Amino acid sequence: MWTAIQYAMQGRSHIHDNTPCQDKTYAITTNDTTVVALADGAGSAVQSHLGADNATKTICSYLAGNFDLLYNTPDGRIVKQELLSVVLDSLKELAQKSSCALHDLASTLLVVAIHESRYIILHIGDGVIGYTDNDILRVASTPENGEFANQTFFTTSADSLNSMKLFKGEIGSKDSFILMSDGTESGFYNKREKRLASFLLDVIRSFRIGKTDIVECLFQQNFNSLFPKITGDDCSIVFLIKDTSYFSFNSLCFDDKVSFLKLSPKATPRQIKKYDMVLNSLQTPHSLRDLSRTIHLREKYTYRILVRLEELKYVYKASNKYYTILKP
Amino acid sequence: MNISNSFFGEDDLVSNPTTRVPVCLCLDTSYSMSAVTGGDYQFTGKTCMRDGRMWNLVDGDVTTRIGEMQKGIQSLYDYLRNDEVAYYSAEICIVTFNDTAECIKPFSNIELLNNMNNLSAQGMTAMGEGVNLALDLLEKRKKQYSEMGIDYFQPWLIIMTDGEPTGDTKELNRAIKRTNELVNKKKLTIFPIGIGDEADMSVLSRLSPRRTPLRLKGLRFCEFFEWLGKSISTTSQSMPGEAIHLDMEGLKGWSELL
Repeated sequence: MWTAIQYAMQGRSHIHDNTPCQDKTYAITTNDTTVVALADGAGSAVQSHLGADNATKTICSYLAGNFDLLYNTPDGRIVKQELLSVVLDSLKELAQKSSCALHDLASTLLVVAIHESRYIILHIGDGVIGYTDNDILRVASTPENGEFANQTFFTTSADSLNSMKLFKGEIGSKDSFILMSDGTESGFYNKREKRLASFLLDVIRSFRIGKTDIVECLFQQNFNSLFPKITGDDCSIVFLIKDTSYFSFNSLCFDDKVSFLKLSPKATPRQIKKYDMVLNSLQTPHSLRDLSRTIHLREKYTYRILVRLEELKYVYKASNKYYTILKP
Repeated sequence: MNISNSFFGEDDLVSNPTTRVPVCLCLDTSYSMSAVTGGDYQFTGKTCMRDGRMWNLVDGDVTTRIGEMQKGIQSLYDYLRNDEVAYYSAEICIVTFNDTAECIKPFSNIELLNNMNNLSAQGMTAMGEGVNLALDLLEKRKKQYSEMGIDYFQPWLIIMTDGEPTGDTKELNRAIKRTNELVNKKKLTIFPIGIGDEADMSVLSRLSPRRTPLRLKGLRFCEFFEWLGKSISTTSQSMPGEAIHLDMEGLKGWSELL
């Protein structure tokens, strides 16, 4: 089972000139197929936010309904033409309804579709698609810019077909995918070395072991506070993560807990019990004092446990109270 | 509940170099640029033949075309220093042409640029050589950016002259061919500027197939360079797919369209 977490943030330059966020994301699961998409509307295309929205929904819907047919088509050019024409037909209809030109709806497009043990990836324009495989972060598709920084390819570009990248294959041990727009690239993708920021592995792990709504909230809050400092562009990101629902700290055996908490192999059941009590209590936020009283442990010992859990990023502190992201 | 801000921090983000705007100023420093335009001076009664013309020599506290151009470039530096985006993005190179062409300031960002050099006017007007050198330097800079993994915007070439070219005709024709090719392929933005009434605007038109040359009104170098600074700043902030709209209205204050 795959879970999609998606987020788009309006850039400060668009806040300033009252332009809507031109980054759009979408996710769908039907017929055992999960599809996620991200599109970044062209800067000066007047309705590109509508184009981006339309392109993501159209492509997700089409791939969800036609995955096997597309996957089993041996000639990739035919698949590219098919996918592009589906998107363009939908955009043309929208252009007519909105009384605008097709190029006013231009956007980039990044897509990952998964059905059973297979995937299809599509990429037009800038932005990055990455994935994890055995805890290693890799790049599946790099940004396509023209020679100059403010040039890229769009769904409506004359050469969008030639510039489109299309991949397919077996999922194997891949267990997450990440899609990001060029705004997000500025902080999460090293352009010179063509690699993703390594801490994204920690983010994915947190989504896997933590309560999705809390981890999502944490991520968004940090994202909102950091990214406006490094770019004025809209920023968006989609995580597609395998098997997020199965982890539960309480269901781990003793040895797994020792390993999970990165304790010495000599750790005792008594020590683990203290961690159990802390983590179960922190399913609701507690101050240090309240937590110590609840678990009947002196504050200084409770504090040591909390510091360790904070370092492991299983526990966070806000408004003088501690809470855990871990599922019980 | 307020969620903690410690999920990830600035140290976790990658540090990508700022996207650059490479700008080359290609400046006429022939003798005619020492023409006096104001100040407190007296005629000496002497004359001389320079740069294809006869000149009356003067003495005193004078303002000259080249002096005003230098002040204008200094105002560009000052503008860029105060613009938080252009400060890191703009890279300026200065090529001068008189009897020969010379790069007097290789590409530097404003952080590293000291105040403007003193320019001196002498010799003839090897414009073709100057433009070719400027284009060579822009190409070399783009290659360096690519090798270092630094993104860049379309380069800018600003040509300023007060006369007509007197250098090698083949070099001039080569320069015209190159600028035309680059502009038509949208690989270069060019601003040809004529200074004073004797500037050869027809040559400037040949160098710039898409943008009509402008004649500087009076000595409004500072206004032009301030406009240039703002335009560089606008370009530095542009996003993919965004057409860059330069404030051409702002030009009218200091120049006229032919």
